Amino acid sequence: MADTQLSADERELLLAKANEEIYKQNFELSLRNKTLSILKILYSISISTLDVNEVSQQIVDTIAAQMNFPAVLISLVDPDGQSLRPSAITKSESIQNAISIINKPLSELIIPLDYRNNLVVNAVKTNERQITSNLLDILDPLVPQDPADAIAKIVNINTLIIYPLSINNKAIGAMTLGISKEIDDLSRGEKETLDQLIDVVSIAIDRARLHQNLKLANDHLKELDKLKDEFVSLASHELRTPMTAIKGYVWMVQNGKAGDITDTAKKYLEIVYSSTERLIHLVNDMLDISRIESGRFQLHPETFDFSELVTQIQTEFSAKASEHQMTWHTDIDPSQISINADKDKILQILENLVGNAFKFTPDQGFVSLQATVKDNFLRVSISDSGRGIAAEDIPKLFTKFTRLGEGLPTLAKPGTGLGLYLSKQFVELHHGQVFVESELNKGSTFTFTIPLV
Amino acid sequence: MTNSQKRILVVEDDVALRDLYVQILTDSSFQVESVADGQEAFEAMKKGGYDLVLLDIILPKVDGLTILEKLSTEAPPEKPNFHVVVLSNLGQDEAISKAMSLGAEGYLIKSDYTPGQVVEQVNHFLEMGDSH
Repeated sequence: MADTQLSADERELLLAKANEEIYKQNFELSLRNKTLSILKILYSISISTLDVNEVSQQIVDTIAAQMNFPAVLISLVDPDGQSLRPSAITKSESIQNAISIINKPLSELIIPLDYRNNLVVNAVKTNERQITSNLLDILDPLVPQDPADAIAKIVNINTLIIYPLSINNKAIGAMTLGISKEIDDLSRGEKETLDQLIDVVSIAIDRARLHQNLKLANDHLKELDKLKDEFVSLASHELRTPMTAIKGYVWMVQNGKAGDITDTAKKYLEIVYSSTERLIHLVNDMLDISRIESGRFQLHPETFDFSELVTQIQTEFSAKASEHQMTWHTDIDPSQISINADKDKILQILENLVGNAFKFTPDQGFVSLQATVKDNFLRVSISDSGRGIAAEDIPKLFTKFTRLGEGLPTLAKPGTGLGLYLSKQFVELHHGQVFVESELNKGSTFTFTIPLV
Repeated sequence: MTNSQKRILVVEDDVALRDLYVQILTDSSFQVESVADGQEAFEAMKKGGYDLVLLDIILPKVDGLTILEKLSTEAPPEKPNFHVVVLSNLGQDEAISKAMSLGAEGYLIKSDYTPGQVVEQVNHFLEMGDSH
C-alpha cells in the first residue's frame, strides 16, 4: 500500500495540503452561495417599481452589507450626457462624516464627463474597470488631496474598484466599490462575484430608469388630457352660447313672437333652425366623445320602465312616418321592462338607430322596433326596408365621422357622422353589445343589448 | 298663486340671451328681474325672496358655483329663494355635480332648450312645490 511507504512527515504534509484544498473549495463554494443570494436580492430589486434613486440605494446597501464593503457608490450619466451624478451611496455614520467634509449634498457632487483625470469618468468613457488606492482619483476635481486622504481614513478605504455600468455597450454610469483590503487580498472568487453582479446592477438601473421615464411621460399625458378636456368644455361653452341665441330667436320668429311671416320665410327659418340643431348636436357629441375617450364619461343610471322610452320614440317618429307614408311600429314583450341604465343615453341610442332607419329607407317603406328580454338582457332590434349596407362597409359603420349617406335623396338631413360611433360607445359603457345584419337593397337590422341591472 | 305673482330672477351675462329669457318669461306673465354679472346676482340672491332663479355658471366677477357656495355657507339669503335652477352652456360633470350638491334643483344646458321649453321647465320646477 502506498501510504506505508510514506514517512510521517510526508503524510502530514499531504494531509495539510488536502485540508487546505478542502478549505479553499469550501470558501469558493460559500462565495458562490453568497453570489447567488446577492443576485437573488438584486433581481428582486430590479423587478420592483421604485425610481432610479431608490433602486440605486437598495443596490448599494445590499452589496455593501453582503460583501462587507465600507462604501459603495453609484453614479449615473445625466440625461444630457454632460456629467456624472451620484444616485446613491452606502448609508453609514462614517460616510455621513465623510460627506460633511466635502460640505455638499450627495446629489450635487457632479463631475463633468470630459474631466478625464477622474477615474469614474474614465471607467464610463472606456467601458473598462478601473482600480486605484487613491480616493482622490474618484473625487477629483471636487476636493484636493488632503481632504480625500482624510475621507479615505474615516471610511477605512484602501482600494477602489470602479465598474462601468452599461446597457447594449452604452455607458449609463458606474459603480464604485470602496474596500478595506488591498486589491491583491481579494480572492479570485470575490472578484468573480463582483464581475457577475455588475450586469444585474446595470439592468436593474436601466429598468428603473425606463419605468421612471414611462411614468413621467404618462403623468405628462394625463395632464395634457385634462387640459384638452378643459379646453373642449370651455370651447363648447363658447360655441353653444351664440347657437343658443340663434336657436332661441329663430324659435321666437317661428312662433309668431315677431308678427306674421310668409310661408317662404317659415321654410327658410326651418332650415336655419335644423342647421343650428345639427351644430348643437355636433358639439354635444364631441363633448361626449372627449369624455369617453379620456375615460371620464359618467353614466347616470336610474331604474325605469323601458316601455316609456318606446312610447316616446313611437310618438317622436310618427309624424315623419306619416309624412313619408312609411309603416312604423313598435313592439315590446313583455309590455313593461324594468331596467337600470342611463335613461338619456338609452334614448339617444334609440333616436340615433331609429333616425338612421328612417333616413335610409325610401317612402312607403317600413321601420320597426322590437324590444324583448333574453337572459337578463334587454334586447332591442330596429329593422328597416331601406337600401342596406354593403358587406365591405359594415366594419366602417361604428367608426367616427363615417358617413355612408352619399347619394341619399335630398330629404335626408346629413348627420354628424358620430351617431353610430357614440351609440356603440354608450351600449358598451352599459356592458352591452351592438350587432348589425344587412343586405344591400333589402334593409338592415341593428340590434343592441343592455343588462337589465 | 298665478304666474303674475311669481318672481323670477334671470342671471345671464349674454345680452341677447338675457333679453330672450326676460321676454319669454314676461310673455308668460311672470314678474321678471334680471342681472348681468355674478356680483349683482349674489347681491340679489342674498336679498332673496325669488320663487325661482335661473342661474348661469360662467359669469363676470363671480361665477355661479361660487355664488351658490357663498349662499350656502357664509351668507345665507335673507329671504328664501324657493327654487334655483342652473341654466348654463357649461356641461362639465364636475360643475353639474357641484351645483346640485350646493342646492341647485336642476341643471339645464341652454342650447338644448327652446325658449318655449325653458318656460315649460320653469313651470315644472315651480309645480314641484317649495324645496325649502
